[in-house]
Amino acid sequence: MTLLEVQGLTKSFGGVTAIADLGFDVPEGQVYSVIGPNGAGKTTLFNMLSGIYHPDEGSIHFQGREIIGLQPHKMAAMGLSRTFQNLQMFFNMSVLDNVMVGCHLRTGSGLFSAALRLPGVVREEREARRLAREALSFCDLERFVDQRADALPYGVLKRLEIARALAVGPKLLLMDEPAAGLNDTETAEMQRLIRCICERGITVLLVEHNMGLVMRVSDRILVLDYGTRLAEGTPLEIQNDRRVIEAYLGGEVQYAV
Amino acid sequence: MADQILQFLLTGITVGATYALVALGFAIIYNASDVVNFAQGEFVMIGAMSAVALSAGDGGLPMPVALLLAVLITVGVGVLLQRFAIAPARGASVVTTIIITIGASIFLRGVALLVWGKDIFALPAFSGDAPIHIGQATLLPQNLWVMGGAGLMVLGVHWFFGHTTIGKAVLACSCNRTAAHLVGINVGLMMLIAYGLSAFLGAMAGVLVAPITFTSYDAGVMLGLKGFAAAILGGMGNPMGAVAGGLLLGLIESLSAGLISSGYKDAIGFVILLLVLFFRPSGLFGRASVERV
Ligand SMILES: Nc1ncnc2c1ncn2[C@@H]1O[C@H](COP(=O)(O)OP(=O)(O)OP(=O)(O)O)[C@@H](O)[C@H]1O
Ligand SMILES: [Mg+2]
Repeated sequence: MTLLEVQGLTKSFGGVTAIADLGFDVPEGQVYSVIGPNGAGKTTLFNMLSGIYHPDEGSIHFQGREIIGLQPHKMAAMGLSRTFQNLQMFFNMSVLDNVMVGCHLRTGSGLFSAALRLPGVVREEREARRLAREALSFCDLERFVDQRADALPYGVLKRLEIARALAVGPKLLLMDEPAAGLNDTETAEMQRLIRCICERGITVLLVEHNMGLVMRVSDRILVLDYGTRLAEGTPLEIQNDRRVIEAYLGGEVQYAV
Repeated sequence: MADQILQFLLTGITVGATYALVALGFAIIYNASDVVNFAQGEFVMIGAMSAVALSAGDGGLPMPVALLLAVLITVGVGVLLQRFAIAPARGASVVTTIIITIGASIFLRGVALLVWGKDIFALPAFSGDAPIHIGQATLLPQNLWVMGGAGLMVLGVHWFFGHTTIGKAVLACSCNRTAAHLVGINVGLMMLIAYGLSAFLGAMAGVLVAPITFTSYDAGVMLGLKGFAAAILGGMGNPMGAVAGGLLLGLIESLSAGLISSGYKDAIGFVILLLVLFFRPSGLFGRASVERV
């Protein structure tokens, strides 16, 4: 089944066309990666998928429903969650609070009914705490629960951002360069984490520059070049695609021969 | 002398508790949106004036009902202010938004002048005027209402931000609005809550202190300034710091009025504020802001 269906998507910034007439389908339950050189439009695509940018043209269907024009928090409520290329944490809060805020949607059933009934608020808080701890232990972060986010090393923050995104309870998780800036051990851990997320039944849309990671972890890959679709297929198909080799891996291939 | 000092301290804490509530209102909106809401003092005035209007005369409502309605009206004003004056300017710079709040405060004062005129009003004390003696110092029951009420409000706010998901969601908006929006927080709603809560605190300060200090259409100006000074003193970004700043400012004023001269009490308060700003720009209890790059 197709979870996300993108058609004719276009976005320009002044004279720069970041995404041009792009279409692709993300099947449910898979790790679907988007690769492409710097400036290919990957982050711009994510920003449209999560409601931060409004596309100039095109449609985005999530579970068969058009989501363009919805506010970001509405998209999150539908089950679309994301992480950022540049960390976007709540640095003035503890690790636990960072993730609990992500649970806000799932536990904050009736805001005003909760606000008027004290027991409701207390129960909600307890439930959020439970969900947050679960997400933290899933990402192997229990050790850091009570620390402030701004005291943590980069690799831990990368996983914390994922824990927070999972706490939202997503069906589709958009991950923008989760392995950027990580060392080899951390990258291997990240690869395992991405597979675990997928095995939980959460579809993953991944943007990543680390080709080794992408090839090992993905079910399908979309290659972007100047905002358009260059190729799409399984890792094996992409590795053997002549256009991809020329455009994207070109330099390396020449040296290798 | 010791008794006199005790008297000054009691007065100082009462006044300081009022400042603390106003300062807390400033800090909450500042925390949620980086905006200094200069209409904060008007919330105090609207709370007090509507309580007077609702309870006055023969057809007046019973006191508890009038107080409750007055507070609700003020919360309504706070929410409307956010919805129709602040929210439409979303994307405008912080300075622009602050100017909007100054305009709103002038507008609200103007409306109050039209509705209630220039008279000075008093609200009856909640539980009589029989003074309570502590040594040579005396305390009115209303002073206890102010201290107790303010104490409860402060604890409530502390609990709200530390132990409810809604409170944390408001804090999250202040820290990173985009990320907050993307983890499913309705940022617009959180801003409404922040303004509603600030208006609630202002109104509570207004009705609690009105029996002691009287009230008029322009009573919010000085209280707003003092609350602002208190919030700066304690550290704008730290709600509990703002509360401490309020108490401190009240004590300083009362002591300097008693021991030096009442003519200088406002001046001394502001001089101390300037000194603090000079030596500790982030306030006494504010943490120096560190931007992560
Ligand atoms: N807010 C913006 N305003 C103007 N131009 C933008 C904006 N966002 C992106 N662009 C431009 O759109 C193009 C695509 O950028 P984008 O960030 O989507 O690329 P990317 O594929 O994520 O690159 P990278 O791999 O470096 O992260 C670039 O030319 C970029 O300069
Ligand atoms: Mg990018």
